[in-house]
Amino acid sequence: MDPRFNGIKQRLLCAARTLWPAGRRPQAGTSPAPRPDDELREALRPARAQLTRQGLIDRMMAGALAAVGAAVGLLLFARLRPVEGPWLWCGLAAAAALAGAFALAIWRRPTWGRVAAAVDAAGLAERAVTALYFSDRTRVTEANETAQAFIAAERRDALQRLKGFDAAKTLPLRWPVRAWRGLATGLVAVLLLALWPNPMAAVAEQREAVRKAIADQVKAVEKVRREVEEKGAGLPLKTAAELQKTLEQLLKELKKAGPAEEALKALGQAQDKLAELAAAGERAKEAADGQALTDLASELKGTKAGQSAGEKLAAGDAKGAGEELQKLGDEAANLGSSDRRELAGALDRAAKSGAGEGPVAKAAAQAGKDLAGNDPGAAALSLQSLNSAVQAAMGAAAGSQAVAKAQSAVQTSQGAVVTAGQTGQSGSGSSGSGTGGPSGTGPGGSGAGSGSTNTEAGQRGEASNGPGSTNPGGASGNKTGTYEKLYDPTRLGGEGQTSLIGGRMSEGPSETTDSGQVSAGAGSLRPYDEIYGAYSREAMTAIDRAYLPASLRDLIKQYFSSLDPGPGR
Amino acid sequence: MASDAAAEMAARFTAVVGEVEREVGRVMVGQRDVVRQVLTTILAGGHVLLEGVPGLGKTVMVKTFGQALDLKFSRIQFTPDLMPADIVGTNVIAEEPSGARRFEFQPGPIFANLVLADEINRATPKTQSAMLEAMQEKQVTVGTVTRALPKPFFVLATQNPIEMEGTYPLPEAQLDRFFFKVLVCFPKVEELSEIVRRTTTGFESEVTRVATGEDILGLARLARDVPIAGPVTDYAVRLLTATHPKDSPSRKVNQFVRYGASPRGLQALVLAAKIRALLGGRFNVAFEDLREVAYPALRHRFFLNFEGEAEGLSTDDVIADILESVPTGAH
Repeated sequence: MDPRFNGIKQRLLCAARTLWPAGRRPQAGTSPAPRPDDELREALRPARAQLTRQGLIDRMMAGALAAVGAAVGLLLFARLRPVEGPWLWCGLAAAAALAGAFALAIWRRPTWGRVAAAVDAAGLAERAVTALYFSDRTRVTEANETAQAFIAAERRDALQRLKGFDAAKTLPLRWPVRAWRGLATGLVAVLLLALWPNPMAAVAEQREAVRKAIADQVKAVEKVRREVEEKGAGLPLKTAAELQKTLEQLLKELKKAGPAEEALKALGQAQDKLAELAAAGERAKEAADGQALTDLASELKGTKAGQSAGEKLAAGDAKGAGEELQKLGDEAANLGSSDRRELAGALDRAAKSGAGEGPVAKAAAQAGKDLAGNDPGAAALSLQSLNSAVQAAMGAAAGSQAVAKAQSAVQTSQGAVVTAGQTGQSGSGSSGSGTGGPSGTGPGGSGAGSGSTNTEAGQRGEASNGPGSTNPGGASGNKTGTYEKLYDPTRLGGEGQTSLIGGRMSEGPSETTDSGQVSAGAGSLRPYDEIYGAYSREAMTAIDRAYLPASLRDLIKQYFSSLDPGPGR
Repeated sequence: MASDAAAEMAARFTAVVGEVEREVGRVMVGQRDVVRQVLTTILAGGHVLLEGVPGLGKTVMVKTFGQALDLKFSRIQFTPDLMPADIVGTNVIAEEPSGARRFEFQPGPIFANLVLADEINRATPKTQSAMLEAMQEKQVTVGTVTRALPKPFFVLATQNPIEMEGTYPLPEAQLDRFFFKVLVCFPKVEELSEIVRRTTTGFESEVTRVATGEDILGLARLARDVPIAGPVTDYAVRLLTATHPKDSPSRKVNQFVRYGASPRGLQALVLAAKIRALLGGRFNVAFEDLREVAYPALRHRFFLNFEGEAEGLSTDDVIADILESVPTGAH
């Protein structure tokens, strides 16, 4: 072995001996003490009970010291790093230390060998240890006759002396004074740490609020996911699967998210995905001519033959409406001429009142035409076609609603997480840790974004309550809603003309250069949806130019994504 | 009942020892510990090395033991010109009445029960080594013939710790064969007065023979049957191993000891502790017995290094440190 290791080994051994004195170490070659026989056990029992009590005192005191030490350590650590609920942790650590000490005291009761040794140390001069050692009869039988006689005499002598042994008097309970001092010192330290304001407390509170908010939002998103899972039959299979996957991914990310930034990142990514799904749903819905459904339901309710189908259509009962329309097609040949005309007229009006381009409108127009044409067979077929178109349209609408609901839930989550983060930050204002930064962008994003999507989903009112929103959902709930006016960013970007601001007159000549190429609206307040694109483009260009961590890039993208008023707005 | 018989044997043991001590005390003034340790050595069947300045009564004490125990006593004064044959004996030519001549063994003074080897460190190592076989094997070999020594056989050697000129320190192997090394201290003031009274007046004391060699052998066998518990034996083992440097819990041993005690030290520790227990009225060996006999049993069995010698340490200082640092290790 390398001689250098010998030195290290010696030092380690020395340290181990210091920490674990020889008196407490198991000694090499220590003979095991046998279990005493009944008579000897009875004689030793009072001493064992006394030593057990002493062990309880010692261990509980050690446990109390450990508890106070843990509390002090934890409180000091909570000043370096934010710890949520430090007092709770202190309490738990203290309880664990005390419970451990108590359990150890009960579990590690003094052995009979130790009891015998303690009794001997109190004046029996190894009589008890010897008697205990020779309780193992094999040790006696190995001895010769004289030795056996000595062993018997020794045992009698030991038992006689043990009977007169007053354990309470000879082994009085010792109260560890040094430990008391240590305990008192520790308690004073805990008290001082409790009274001395902790600059990390506000940060910890913020984290706790964020964690709670994330936990709440996990529940909310989980609820939406279950709804999609259970009622997502109306969605195209691919869309339903993607929506499920997106929500599951979001749940996974949220569950493992630590700080608010991580949660916001996950929520932002989910938001993007849902926006894609919503756009796809919208296109599907438009293709299916959703507005025509409303008109068809309204017209059918006014007819005798189609009243039931119209009511179910209006109630959104796709299955019921399908059955009624199927029934109507089957009975088309049996309808009276007045009923047929009435139905044909209703279908015709429904076809004309809507956009007239969608499959529902077209099918309604064809069915109306066939009914009016007195051709029962063709009418039955066209009513079946109408049924198919209606089913497809209702499915698309349901899917769009589900995606919209999911978007709403995600947006609410973003708002809640940002609010939680802000709550903590505002609380930490006194310590100077409150900053603008990523979470500061959240409120604006949430508020503006909600206004834009309301027009499509028609149920974004709740999202408009997002923090920092200046655009109530109600105001943006129609297609012609007005947007808040913002400053026109005509000079955003790096390559624009530079305006030089002159110094004070007393410090020399000033020079002003006209920037030129200013748009008509430059410098003026313009509606938000008109200038959003410019801001967004500049931001994307800027983050590509400058070095930014990926998480911050995502945050900026999410911010602008949430502000997006939508295509054509 | 067995325990009653044991109590009787122990009482007999104590009584005999008490009587011997009393008889020796008729001549010797004070030195009770020394007398007890010499007697312990005799009861253990070992040999004792008495160390003390001249005039402390070492020779008188040994002679008195011989008288009190009814043992054949001989005295050998060790000098530099003493030859081994002067101790063990030699073959001499003897002439028979018929005129024939033959070699006849003439036993030396070693053929006694109690041999006083006075100033043993004055003899040359060659002569000292003549004692090795006698002390360990209790026999001597002259020429090709081995002869047993009488039983019991005890060597009580003396040496002067001060006058070192012209002496030959005993080798380690020789020292290890002594059961105890007893330090004979200077008498106390009141003891000196008594010594003067006894030696400068017409005071005469008659020493009575209170025990025979057979009695001593019987008591020695009895002492060996005293039970010793495992933890107590373990403590004795730890005490012995603690005399060895490197892994000793004693700092002084690690720093100042060159070589530790041999297993004979352990035998001496336990046997002496058993005798002490019986003399203390107990049927078992206690830790305290071992601690008490550790000094005479171990002080001559381990050796200080140069640093220890330079520091002026004695082996007793090291033993004290060992006793302090080795825990009894009771469960």
